[in-house]
Amino acid sequence: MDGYFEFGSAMEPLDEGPEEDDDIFKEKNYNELNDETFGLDEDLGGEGEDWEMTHEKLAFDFDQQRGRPEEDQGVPAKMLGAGNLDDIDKVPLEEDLEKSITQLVLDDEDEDEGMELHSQQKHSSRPINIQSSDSNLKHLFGPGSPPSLFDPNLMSPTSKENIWGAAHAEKAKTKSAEDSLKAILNIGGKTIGGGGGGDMAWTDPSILHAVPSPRPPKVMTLEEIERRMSGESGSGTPQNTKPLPVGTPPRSQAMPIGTPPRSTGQVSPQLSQAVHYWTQKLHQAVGGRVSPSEISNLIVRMHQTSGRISPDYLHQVLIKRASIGAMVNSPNFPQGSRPTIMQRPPHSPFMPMPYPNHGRMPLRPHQGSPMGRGHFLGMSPVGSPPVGRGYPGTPHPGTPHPSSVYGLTPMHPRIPPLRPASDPGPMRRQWNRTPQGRGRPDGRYQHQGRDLYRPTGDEYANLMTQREKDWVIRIQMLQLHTENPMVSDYYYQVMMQRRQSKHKEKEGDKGPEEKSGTADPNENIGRGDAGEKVGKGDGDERSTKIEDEKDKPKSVQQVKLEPKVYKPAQFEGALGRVTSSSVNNPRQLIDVHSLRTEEEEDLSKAKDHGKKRRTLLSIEQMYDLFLKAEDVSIQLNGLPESDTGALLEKRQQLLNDVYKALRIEEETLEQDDHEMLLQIMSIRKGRKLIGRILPLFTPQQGGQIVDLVALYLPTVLKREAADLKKCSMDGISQEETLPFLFHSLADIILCKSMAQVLIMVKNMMEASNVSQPLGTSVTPLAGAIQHKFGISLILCALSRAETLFSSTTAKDLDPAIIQEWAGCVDVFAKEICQLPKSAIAEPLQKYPLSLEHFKHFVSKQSFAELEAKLSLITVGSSVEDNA
Amino acid sequence: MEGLDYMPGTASLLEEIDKKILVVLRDGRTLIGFLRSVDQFANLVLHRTIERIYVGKQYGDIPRGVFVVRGENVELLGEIDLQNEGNLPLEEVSVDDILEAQRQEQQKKQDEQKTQNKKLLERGLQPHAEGTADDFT
Repeated sequence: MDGYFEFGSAMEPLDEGPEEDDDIFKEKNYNELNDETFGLDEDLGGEGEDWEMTHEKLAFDFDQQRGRPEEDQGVPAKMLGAGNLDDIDKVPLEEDLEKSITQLVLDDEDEDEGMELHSQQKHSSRPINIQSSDSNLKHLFGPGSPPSLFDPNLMSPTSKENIWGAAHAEKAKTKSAEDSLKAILNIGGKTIGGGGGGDMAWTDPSILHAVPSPRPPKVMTLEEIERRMSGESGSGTPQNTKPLPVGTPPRSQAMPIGTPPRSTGQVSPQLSQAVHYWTQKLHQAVGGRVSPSEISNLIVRMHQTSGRISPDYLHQVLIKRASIGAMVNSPNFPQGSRPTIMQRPPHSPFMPMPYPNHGRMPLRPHQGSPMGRGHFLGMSPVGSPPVGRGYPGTPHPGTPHPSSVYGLTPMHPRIPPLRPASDPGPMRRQWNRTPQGRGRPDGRYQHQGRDLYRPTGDEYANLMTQREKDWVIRIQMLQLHTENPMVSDYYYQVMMQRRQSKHKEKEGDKGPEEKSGTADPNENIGRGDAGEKVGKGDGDERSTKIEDEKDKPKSVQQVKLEPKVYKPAQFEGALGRVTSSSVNNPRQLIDVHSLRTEEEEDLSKAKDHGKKRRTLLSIEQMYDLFLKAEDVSIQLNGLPESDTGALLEKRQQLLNDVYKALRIEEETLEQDDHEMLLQIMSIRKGRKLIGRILPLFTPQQGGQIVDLVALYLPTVLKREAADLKKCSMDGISQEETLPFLFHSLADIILCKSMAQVLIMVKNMMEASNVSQPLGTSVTPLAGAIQHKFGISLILCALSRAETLFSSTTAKDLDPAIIQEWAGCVDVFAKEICQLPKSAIAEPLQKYPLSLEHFKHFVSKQSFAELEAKLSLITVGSSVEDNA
Repeated sequence: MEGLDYMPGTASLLEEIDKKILVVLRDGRTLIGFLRSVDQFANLVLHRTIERIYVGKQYGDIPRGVFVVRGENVELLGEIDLQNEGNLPLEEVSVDDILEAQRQEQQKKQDEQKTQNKKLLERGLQPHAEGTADDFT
């Protein structure tokens, strides 16, 4: 009998017994007593009272299944793996059990048991009445009951583990009688609910007499887990952590009798397959961000603890883990602190590993994947200690688990797609890092094009994948986007323009057919070819030869990004002012005020200063326009004639604006004071500006300005002198502006007509008559002659006149003009003659024709004098071109 | 993909990847290492880095391992000519020696500064307020 029920040899003597306190048990708060004795179990939450009802229900249902409606106590069905029956003292209880058993339908497998049972059928069948708990209890706990059967720890009828709970009741209903018997007789070596369930069996007093010592349940517990695990393989059916009710037949697959219990260390192949399968799925689901070994660890652990594998839950966990792991999972993260990582599911050595790279490496045979696998091989037996209840928390000896270190991409915030197998990554180097047989890596210089495979020397190469590099490049190119490339990216734009024009020439040589359409002038020459090739780019690439492609700059249209409005980070609830200063949102650190100096107490001076500042401001504004016009000119340079129209217009518009700003032709001017221009000319910067802008003006505009300069020549000269003096006093060396200005003026003068020249010269003389205060011995004209700028102007004018004179016939010359001109020349001659030779300044440019010109108008005598004075400065040693 | 064009006519740190480079930081340190990774801020990951200290005609190397340098702290960097790397006109000394030399140099500078300040105070001038290059003051 003992062997049949697989009872252990001995039973622990049961210690106490409430034999003395029958009254207490009779009381209604018997259940409550038990609560405080044995502690509450939250899981069942005070359903102790219902156990009787549910028990009754169960029993009733069970009996119905077996066709015994009158038996309302299906006690035998709820008997779990029987414990020891060691004493014949238990015969009364045994008898009950046997009676119950005899009523059961026996399986074929249970022939033996059936034979034995039959022999005892002579006993009358008397259902054990549980309802009359008192009698039973008395029976149980009375003096006659064997103390060994009574384990207070186990016999709480009101244990909070609701073994009679509804869920189990339903399960019990659905199972066949056959299963029930199997459960009772522990056929197949399974216990329903295992040891824990076995524990619960003790709660039923009627079972107690049949239940053996608690020790075997422990064995059952482990075995049960085993079976559960094996039974769960591939099915993934949810299982209960809690021990199943007594009456519940086993849900897992039955093991045939005689199967030796498996050692606890190994997992069945079915289970590992399932783990593997789910590992793969989950790995894909998280986009490879968590390593497969971690996933499989999770699965196994989940299986062991809860008995179920819930993919959704795992998926969520992994996603969470992946996101948290971004912060945590770094190459510097201490390996030992994550014991779960170290556990590996024990694969068979030749099990194909779909992700030996853990999602980041290519499968590179020549890199020694056999070595890599051997690497794993070396690890796996070490890494698979017996799977107990917990995990071995010790980190692996040797190299750390690679996937945990490199489980995430640097582009973590974005969810990356599954990495292509060809993506090189740090995992690749994991194998190489092992010290054996690899030699010291040294940093040999790498040749280009080696980045796809490991170069011989440098084992740490290509830490940065091509993908990452492209990512950085893309960001940089995005940052390059500008509204105004010629302003913010001048040098690059110009370089590209030059390249383009060179390439165009080349193409022109090759033939007109191949010549592509020219770039849109407004098209910005963008950088790189980040998939944004438009127009010229694409068409050309196909038609031109390879060498052309290299030479030809790639012009693209820049993606017009929406201007991002920057909003500085706002923190709610932060105390005080949060310093959130950044490039986009700079905070003012230095407070700069323009200090009013104490010197400016003199109001007039202050006025002047203010005026000067205002003028400077206007000059700045004019410069702004002018520079824009210059930019347009530069753009014009790179374009053929046909397309220049729009740009020319634009430029002219700008220049017109500048001209207007000079207020030369304003009609509101009452006097010809030309104040604006004068102001500008008084300031160095203004003079320079005029010098620069004059060439861009139309001849008419330019001429006007020249005339005005001539008009205000003395002022200009004075101011220049004053500026230079001031600068020399301050110790600052500043270059003269007038020479530069002169060149611009000269160009214009040399294009003037006779009449215009006359006007200019007259202006000059008028100026000298008007603007100079009285009482000076030296006339302004003389002053001008003594200044190089002035003399240059004069000589230039004369030279021009000479050219015109000599080139035109006498008929075409207007006599009136000539008359006036003669007068002017005369004045010039006089002035020059009056001055000593040394006083005459050297002109900025030599005009031999000017001397010649005097011949027409002055007497020979005077001419001789003039020649003496002017010959050196007008006719130099160098050969001059005729103007 | 073979990768996007490195922008023509520009200098990109990506071309320096896996090369041995010398980095001068804003605090004056000199690091030599293999550039393994960069990002859009020009943060650098240097591998097998050594910190080289120069004192006079001597230098000493301190092995440092892996460095991650924040981009804003880099003053300049350049590729090291591996062929001429050994042909420095300077003398290499041990780490202890160079640190000692550095310490002496700094001590000397401090002493000089002290005497200078003393002299200035004697003449009634304020001592030269020399500080590190503060960006904001």
